Amino acid sequence: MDVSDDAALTTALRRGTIEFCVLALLDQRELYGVELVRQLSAGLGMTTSEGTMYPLLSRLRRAGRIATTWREAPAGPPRRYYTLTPDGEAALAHFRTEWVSFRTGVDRILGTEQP
Amino acid sequence: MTQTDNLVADYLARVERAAAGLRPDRREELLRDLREHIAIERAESSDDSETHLRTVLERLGDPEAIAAAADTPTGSIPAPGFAAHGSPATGYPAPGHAAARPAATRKGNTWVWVLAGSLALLVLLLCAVVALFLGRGDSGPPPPAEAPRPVETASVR
Repeated sequence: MDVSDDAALTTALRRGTIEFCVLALLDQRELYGVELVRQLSAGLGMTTSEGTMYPLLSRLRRAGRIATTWREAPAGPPRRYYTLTPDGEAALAHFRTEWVSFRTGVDRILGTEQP
Repeated sequence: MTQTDNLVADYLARVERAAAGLRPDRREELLRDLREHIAIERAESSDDSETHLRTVLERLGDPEAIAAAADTPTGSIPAPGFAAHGSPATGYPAPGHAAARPAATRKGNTWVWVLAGSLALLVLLLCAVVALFLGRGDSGPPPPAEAPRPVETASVR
C-alpha cells in the first residue's frame, strides 16, 4: 500500500466519524475554533489539513447541532466559541450506541476484538 | 503591508479562487473563519516570525483541499442518514441543506415502491385463494389416481 492509498483510507475512515468527534469534544466544554481544530487535528492526525475542519463546523452549525457565541479574550481578538445544542447532544448519544455496535461487528469480522 | 501580511493575503486569495464555485455566503464564511483562525494563532504565539506564520498556513493546508471540503458534504450531517433510524428526536428537516433534499425524495420514492410492491403481492395472493376456491367448486379435488398405478407397474415389468 503506498502513501496515497493510506491517505485515502484514513480520509474514508474519518468521513463518517469526525463530526461526532467534534460533538464529543464540545460535550466536554465549549471551545473556540483554534482550540477545537487543534484538538481534532492532534487526535486524528490531521495536522496538515486543519483548514478543512471549518467547512465541517459551518455545516454542523447550519444543521443546528452546534452553535456559536462570542467571548472576549484576555489577549488578542475576541473568540468565537462553539457549543453543543440539544440536537447535537441527541445526535451524539445516538452515534455512541451506533458506533459501539458497528465497531463490535467490524472487530468480530476482522478478528480484532480487544481481549 | 508587511511581508507576513502579504503571506496571509496571498493564502486567503488562493482559497477564494479555489472556492469560486461555492455559494458567495459560504465562501465568505469560510474566508472569515480562516482569517480569524490565522489572527488568533498569531495573537497566541510569542513568535511573530514569518516562519511561524508559514507553519500556521501549512497546518491549515492546501487551499484546494479546503475548498473541496466546503463543497462536499461529509458524514451524516444531511439528515436522511439519521432519520433512517426513525428517531424523531434527531430527524432534522436540515434547514437549507441542499444535499438533504434529493436524498429525502429518493427515500420517499422507495417507500412508494415498497407499498406498491406489497399491494401487488396482496392482490396476487387473493387471486390465488379465489382461484383455488373456484377450482374446488367446479370439479372438486382430483380423484385419487389409483387406476394408473397398475399401468405404471405393468410398463415397468
